[in-house]
Amino acid sequence: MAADRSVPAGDLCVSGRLRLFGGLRLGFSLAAGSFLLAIGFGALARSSGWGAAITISASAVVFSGSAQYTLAAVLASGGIAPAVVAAALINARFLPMALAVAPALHGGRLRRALEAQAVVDASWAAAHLGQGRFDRERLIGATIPQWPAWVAGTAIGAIAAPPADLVSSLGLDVVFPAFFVVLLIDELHSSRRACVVAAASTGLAALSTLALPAGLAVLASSPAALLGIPDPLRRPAR
Amino acid sequence: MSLWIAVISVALINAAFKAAGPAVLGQHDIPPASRRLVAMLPAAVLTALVVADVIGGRWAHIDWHLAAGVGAAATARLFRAPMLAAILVGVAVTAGLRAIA
Repeated sequence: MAADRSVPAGDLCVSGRLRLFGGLRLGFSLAAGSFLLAIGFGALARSSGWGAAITISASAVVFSGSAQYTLAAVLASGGIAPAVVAAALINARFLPMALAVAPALHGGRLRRALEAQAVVDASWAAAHLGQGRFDRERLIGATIPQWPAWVAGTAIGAIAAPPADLVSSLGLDVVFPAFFVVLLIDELHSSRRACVVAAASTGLAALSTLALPAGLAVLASSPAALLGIPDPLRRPAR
Repeated sequence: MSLWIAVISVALINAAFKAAGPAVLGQHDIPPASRRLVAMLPAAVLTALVVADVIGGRWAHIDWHLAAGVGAAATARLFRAPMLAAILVGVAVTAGLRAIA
């Protein structure tokens, strides 16, 4: 679905808008999950002694559940430096993920750096077109509804402080892993090599989670993608 | 005050991680070998996200109800359920199992 250079600019514009709307539609369903998980973060941060203002601000400027949960958890048991380092390591996966979408982004270096802020796990995975190509409009469209939902959910959690197990008892904590597994199945349908990579990643993730927190385990499992480097069209020389 | 420093530091580091690749690469494309690597990143990252969500960091939160919900969503998708329907199946299975546990 990569843009065909022979297509007139007007058609590309319309198609870009349609893909943006497609992304927005997906983003609204993801935003519902983000909203509910953010309520959990707001409640957790308040119970850890954070003020409402900083709890809500954290969601507005960090906009990353894994980093925010890590920050709150490590701050409660350690100092600032270990908490910041842990949260940063958790999100180091965004380095290769943003690099992957880079060719799809528009403009100069600064604009590309700004557009790359739309990279969050769910939108990034949903924007993958296959063959390492990404849909910029779908990526941005899917992220737009998630940010206000994440901030609003945090605000409700921080102010109303609902029971911590509300999200869990409604089964809503399964929204994101279920979404990821659905996208994974679509990826596996598209390539046999992806099945090999997924099997290797499962082993790496299961092993690395023995010693590492979840976000770091994700980073440690990403080298499984190296199995995709050999060119399937190139026969070895005899 | 120190909490604000921590939050702002994490926000800046997070933004820098996302900005670095596109800012360095600019309008250049990535070489074919890197593209093949990138093509496999979603499979590797999605698998790891699912595993990490289900078993938790340091195997601390193995949650069979969550695992069953994820399995149900995967099964629904394999039977060609639409994305949202598959996710709702997962939510219903996890919530149901927790309710009767």
